[in-house]
Amino acid sequence: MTDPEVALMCAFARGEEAAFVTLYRTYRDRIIAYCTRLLGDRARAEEAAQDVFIKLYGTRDTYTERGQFSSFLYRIATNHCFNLRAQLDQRLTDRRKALDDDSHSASPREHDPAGQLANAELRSALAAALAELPDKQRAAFVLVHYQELAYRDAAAALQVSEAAVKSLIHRARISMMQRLEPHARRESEVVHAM
Amino acid sequence: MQCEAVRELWLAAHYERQAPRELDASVREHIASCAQCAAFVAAQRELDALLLRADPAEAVHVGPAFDTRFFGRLDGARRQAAWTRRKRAFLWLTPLAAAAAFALFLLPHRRHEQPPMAAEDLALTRDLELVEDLPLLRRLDEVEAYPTLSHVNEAELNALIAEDTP
Repeated sequence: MTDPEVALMCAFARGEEAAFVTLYRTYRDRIIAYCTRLLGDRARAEEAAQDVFIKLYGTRDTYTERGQFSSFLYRIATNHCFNLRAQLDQRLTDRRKALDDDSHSASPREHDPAGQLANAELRSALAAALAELPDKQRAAFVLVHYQELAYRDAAAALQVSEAAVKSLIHRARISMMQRLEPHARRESEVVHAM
Repeated sequence: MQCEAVRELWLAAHYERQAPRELDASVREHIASCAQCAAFVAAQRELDALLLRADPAEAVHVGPAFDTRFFGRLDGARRQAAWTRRKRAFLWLTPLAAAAAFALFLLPHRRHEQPPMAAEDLALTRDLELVEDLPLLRRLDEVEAYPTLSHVNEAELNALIAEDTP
């Protein structure tokens, strides 16, 4: 057995509750961060992360040792977040619209000293860009870029091939770049002006 | 090599934290000779810088309230699971209980019911009813007791007929 977390999960499946607590403490923050990036809302992400661990607890009787534990857990988290997003689609559409309006209406050149780019604005643009991505592209991008999973593990988490992950990442980054290009341009102007 | 394949390979190497010199030679050569792919690589580096600025790797701060809430919810889920298991067991027992009730209360009543008669039994019953028809039986006995007609002379026969005639 190469993955010590798989050993912990197997111990939990045998009835060792302490093994579950160890897994929870190891992955809690990572799963919260992952859900936050997929859902775009911290409070909802915390609720979702708790759901994920309760679901993990529920797999005790059916868990079979296969692959990396992290892929298994991220798979639960991904599916749960996809379901939540589907349920809250309308509300998220409104939210995206609000973010778009904010990014279009806010004019840093008018309100901020020239050359200063508000990080808050960049953050909201990034959140909007992430939210604009199709579910699988966003999940693949977040897993690989932020959660630092290898392509192989991200593929296992998303239940797609490694080649599909390559393609998803490629398309996600192109979309992100297009979306964030005005900010990149502004930044390079600032650099040149200094 | 096609541009898209090169870009995917470059990104894969980028995420595997490979140094440029470790990158496949054909990928490196393509990027060096293709203006669009070179621009793509430059744009991706720019994107990384932006992503880092917009969302630096911040630690997730979770208060103890989060854990308290989680373990509370987990306890609730455990109790719910236990209740569901009991309910499921009860649902399995329901048909058994129904079968037991059927055996206890319905089967004894069935003992008193008459089973349907077989055709042979029915014929026998009809014969017994005939047997109970005593005047007819007596007649039959009398007929059997008669001597054969060949031995009866006409006078005796007339006397017998006269006897039977009311």
